[in-house]
Order: sequence, then C-alpha cells, then structure tokens
Amino acid sequence: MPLAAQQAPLKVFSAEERARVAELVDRIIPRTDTPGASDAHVPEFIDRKLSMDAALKERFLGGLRAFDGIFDENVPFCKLLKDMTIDGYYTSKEGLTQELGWHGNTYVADFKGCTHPEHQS
Amino acid sequence: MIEDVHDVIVIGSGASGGMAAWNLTRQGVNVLLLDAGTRFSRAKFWTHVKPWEWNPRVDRGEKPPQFYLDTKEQPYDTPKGQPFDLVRVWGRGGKTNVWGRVSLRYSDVDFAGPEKDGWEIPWPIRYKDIQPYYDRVDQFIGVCGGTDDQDSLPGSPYMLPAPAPRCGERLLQKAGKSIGVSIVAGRRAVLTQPHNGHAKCHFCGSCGRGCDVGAFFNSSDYLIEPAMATGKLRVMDNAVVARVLTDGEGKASGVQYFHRETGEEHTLKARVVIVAASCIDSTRILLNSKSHAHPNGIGNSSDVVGRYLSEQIRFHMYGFLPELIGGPTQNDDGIGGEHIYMPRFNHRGAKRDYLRGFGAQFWGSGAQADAGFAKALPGFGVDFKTAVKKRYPALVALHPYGEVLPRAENRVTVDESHKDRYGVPVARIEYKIGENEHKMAAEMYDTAEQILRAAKAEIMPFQRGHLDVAGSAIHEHGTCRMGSDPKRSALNGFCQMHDVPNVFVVDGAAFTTASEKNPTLTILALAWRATDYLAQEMKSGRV
Repeated sequence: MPLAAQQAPLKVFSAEERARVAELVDRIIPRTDTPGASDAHVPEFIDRKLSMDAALKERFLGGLRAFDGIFDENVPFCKLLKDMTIDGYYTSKEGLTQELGWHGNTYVADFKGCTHPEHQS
Repeated sequence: MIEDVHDVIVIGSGASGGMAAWNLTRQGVNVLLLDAGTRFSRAKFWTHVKPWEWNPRVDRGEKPPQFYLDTKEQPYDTPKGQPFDLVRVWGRGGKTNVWGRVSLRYSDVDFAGPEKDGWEIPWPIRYKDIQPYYDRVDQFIGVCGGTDDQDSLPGSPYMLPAPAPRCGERLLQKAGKSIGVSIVAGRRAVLTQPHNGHAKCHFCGSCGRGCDVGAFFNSSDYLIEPAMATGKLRVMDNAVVARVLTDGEGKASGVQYFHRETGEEHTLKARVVIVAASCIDSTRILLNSKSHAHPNGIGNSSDVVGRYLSEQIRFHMYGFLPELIGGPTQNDDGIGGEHIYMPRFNHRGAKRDYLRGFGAQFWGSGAQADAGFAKALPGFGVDFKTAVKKRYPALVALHPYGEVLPRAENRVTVDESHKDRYGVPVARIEYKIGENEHKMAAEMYDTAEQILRAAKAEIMPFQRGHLDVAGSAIHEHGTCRMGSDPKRSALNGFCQMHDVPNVFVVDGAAFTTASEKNPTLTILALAWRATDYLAQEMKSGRV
C-alpha cells in the first residue's frame, strides 16, 4: 500500500498548514540515517490531537500563524510544537524502533537484565 | 415469601473482598459478593498493542478495557484548591487488574511506630500476629524478589526467583552502597515461574494495561475464580452498595444497593456484612449507613470513621547514568516497573526533626516506550535528536514514597447536598499534608539527589519540595482504623467493628497508619486473618 493511503485524512490542517507543520517538525527532528518527524507522520499525529481539543487547536493554529520561523524555546508555540513532536515521534514505529532501537512490549522467554560485569557492585 | 438471609455479604471484589470471599468459601461459608461492575475479559486487554497502534485502533472505534471509574458517573467533592485524585476501578478484581504489584511486608518499625513516637493511637497488632499470614499470602499469590531481611523490611522465605536487575538498577545499587543507602532486590507479585496454576510472566512490561495471561496477582483470577469453583460463592454484577442496613438493636441486617445500569433499588439480608469497597468508597458506605442506633454512620460512636485519612507523599527524580549514555538500547521491560527497592532507613542514626519514614521505588528506569524526558532537553535539530538517542538507554527514575501522619481533620464526610445518580450522598474528601511531611520531603529530596550524584548521573531539572497531587500514590488508608480503644478506633485487630460485631471492614480503611509502603500485601494478610477469625466466630455461634 502506498504510504499516503495509510494515513487518515486530515481533520484540522489545510494542505498548506500541513506542509508548514511538516517543515517545522522536521527542523526539530530532522531525517538523518533514520526517519525524521514528518517521515513518522508527526503532522498527522498533531492534527489528530488538535481535532480532539478545541482550546489546543486554537492555541496551536494561532501560534502557527504568528510564528516567525525562528526557533526559541521561550516562545510558547515553539515549546508546544516541540513537545508535541516529541510525543508523536518517539511513540511512532519509526521513532521508537528505527531511531531509538526499542523492541519491547513483546514475548521474552527469559529476562536476562544486566549482563555487564563492569556494572556489578 | 421468605426472603433469603445470606451468611455473609462481601461488598467489593478487589484484593480485600476477593480474599474475604476466597477464605470464607473454602471454609464452607456461603458468600454473596456484590461487585459494582462486571468481569474484565482478559482476551480483550490491550496488553500487546504497540504505542503506534493505539490511535488507529481508537479511530476505528475499538476501545481498551475501561478500568477506571469516571468521576462523571460517580463524582466526589473536594474543597476548592485542595484537590485529591481518587482512582477507583469498579469491576471484578478492582484495582488489582492494574496495580503496581509492589509487595512489601510491614515491620515492627511500622506496627510499633505510633507507640514509639506517641503520634495518635497504636496498632492493635504486631509483626508476629500478621507474619503467618504474610507467609501464606506470599505462597498463595506468588511474590518474586529478594529474600534478604532488615528491620524495616522483613524478608520472606517464600519468594519466587528475583528478576535480574537492569543495568541502571545495578548501577543505582552500587551508588547507594557507596553512600550507605541499601537498595535491595524488590518484592513484587509477579510470577517469574509458573505458580499455583497461573502462567509465568513473559516480560512484556505492559502490566498497567492488565495482564493478558494473568501472570501477576489479581483478585479476579487468583481469588474469585477459585472461590466460585467451591460452589459456595455467588457474585452479583453491577451492584452498587449504598448502605449497610441495621435491625432495631443496631446490628447489621443486610445491605441496600442500586443496579449500576438500571438504577433499580434492592435490599438483601445477611448475618454478616464485610465491607471491602476500597478505603474511600467503604467509608462513604459506612457514613451513609445512618440509623437510630448509628446517627453518625454505622459503627461510628467513636467519631473516627471518615477521619485520619492518610495517603502518602511522593515525587519523581530522573537522571542519566554516564556508563549507559550513548550505549546500545536493550529490552528493559522485565516484570514491568522496577526490580529493586530502597527500604526505609531514617529510623537509624541521628534522630530526625520529623516522624515516620520513606522508601523509594524506581519504575521507568531503562528503555521505555516513549521518550518524554526529551521535553526537558534543550535545542532542536540533529544535535537534539542525537542528545535524545544517547540518553535513551541511560534513564533512571527515583520515586520516593513517604508516610503521612494520621490527622483527625483529614477526613471523608458525606455531602447531603450532593447526591449521585441513585440519590446517595457522595464522598467529600478534605485532606492536607503538614509540616511533618514537608520536613520529610526535604530529606527525601536530599536522598534521591545524593543517590544520583553518587552514580555521577546527569540529573534532570527538578523543583525541590514539589509533591504529586494528593491521592496520586493510590494508597488511601485509615478512615475506619483498627485499635484497642473503642473510643478512638472503629475496628479491633481483626477488622471487626467495636460497635457492630457482625460488620467487618477489611480494606485500606482499617489501617491504623499508612507507613511508607505499598499496602496491598498487608491488606491481603489482614483480610485473611480477619476472615479466619470470622469463620471461627461463626462456627462458635458468637457472630
């Protein structure tokens, strides 16, 4: 199935807004040798969140319109965007498994724990 | 028509109600258990739903099991600016479906504490009274972990094999040792090998969503199912108990309940009523059970019912261990939550300027299914992405828990002006911590920071003195406390009401003090002991 077909239709963002958000989230978590934020569908993750919270939607879209493109964590919109990007990216399949190497929540026959002699007390 | 009179009615199906029903039915007593919900189906748990599968499932209209009671359905009141987060699970097994599984024995540092420092009434029991029941509970439910013993954390000879510590946990143990703080193997009710017909843990780490194979103690699979198999237990679903009813002499004669869905009112008759609806809900039932003989609520001539609510103080501190920064990611799920525990130590050495003590848990150490910590890291772009990745395997988390002193003014009342959908007054929770807890919190912060410093950790920013909102530990105790003096306590050491000998209260409400420890193991032991006593009293005709 082509990637686009897997995505739920946007509920809040216009095509332009989605493109702008994709550009911004990729500046927070860019593509390297692993996927970036928009590869991991973070714009769709944010769109879904906004669709469930009217106040958040207003705050986000207002912030997006006013944003001058200069990242600064003291700007409330930047912090909001960064936090949502972190939530979306690091719970996505791409972010968790490809970037962080997480392969948990699965059946393990025997849990070995720490096997490093240098970590023993 | 002759109305049925039940031998024993048990209100609630969690740890305490399940234990009461199991222990009585196996001794031949007929029990009717009233559950405010229905059975949660293990086949429908979302234990193995990956984080990225969650939203698409919800969007398709699927629903994870609805464990938590919505306050819209059952509200409670708190004074303005004094929040209390009350977590309730109505349905078979109650909170044991999703509990933290930390299973620590109280010691005489706990049981003899009040006598020693003079704050409020003494416990009517000591470790030697409850120890045989801890032994039985450990063997019956299966508790894994350390067998070591110290004055504040008694060991048990019946532990299942301890799960191997994760790298971060080993390093924290080492750091603790270097500053004289003992961090031991934890004690958790998780099956690291098959036990009493229950499956062993498969280390998927998602216990908080309910275990799809029942590999940790939950009241539904471990107590209620075997009790049903005796043929002596009947369980009634969706029965929301409002009141314990009394006869002309003030003895309990049955209960009044409402059907959760239809709202229909019913009454049932019983020779004995066991209240096990969890601390706050049990207290609400008792206080709403007003009669000529019990104008302040049943069994409340002492005016202690509802008072002395004691939860625990708690906060969180995080760091990254240098040995693990930039290292490989491992599957750190283990038995879900920590494999280690820091027992109380502040009763040793110099006398503190506060009473009672604290311990610490460490869940969330190692690779998690998210990276929320990244919100506290500065920057953007490749450098930021790299910084997150390097720290991800190195995360350790400290969660100290401290005892809150029992105080008469920390209380649950019922609000005649605010009624639930059945017309039953809701609980009002007034709860504040005091100077003692703030002083203790200072040492808790110092200790957590010292452990992380000894581990040479990069410590995440924290706000010294900040504590979780009251109720967050989900360890409510004390609102129907046991004691030897009927003027200052509601129950005797067997959880039996001083005023009403055919009513027993067997959940956290019965505790004289909260301690710093997780209460479920002690709830199970006390409920077992109480119902052994009750079975004996019934046989001899005294109850």
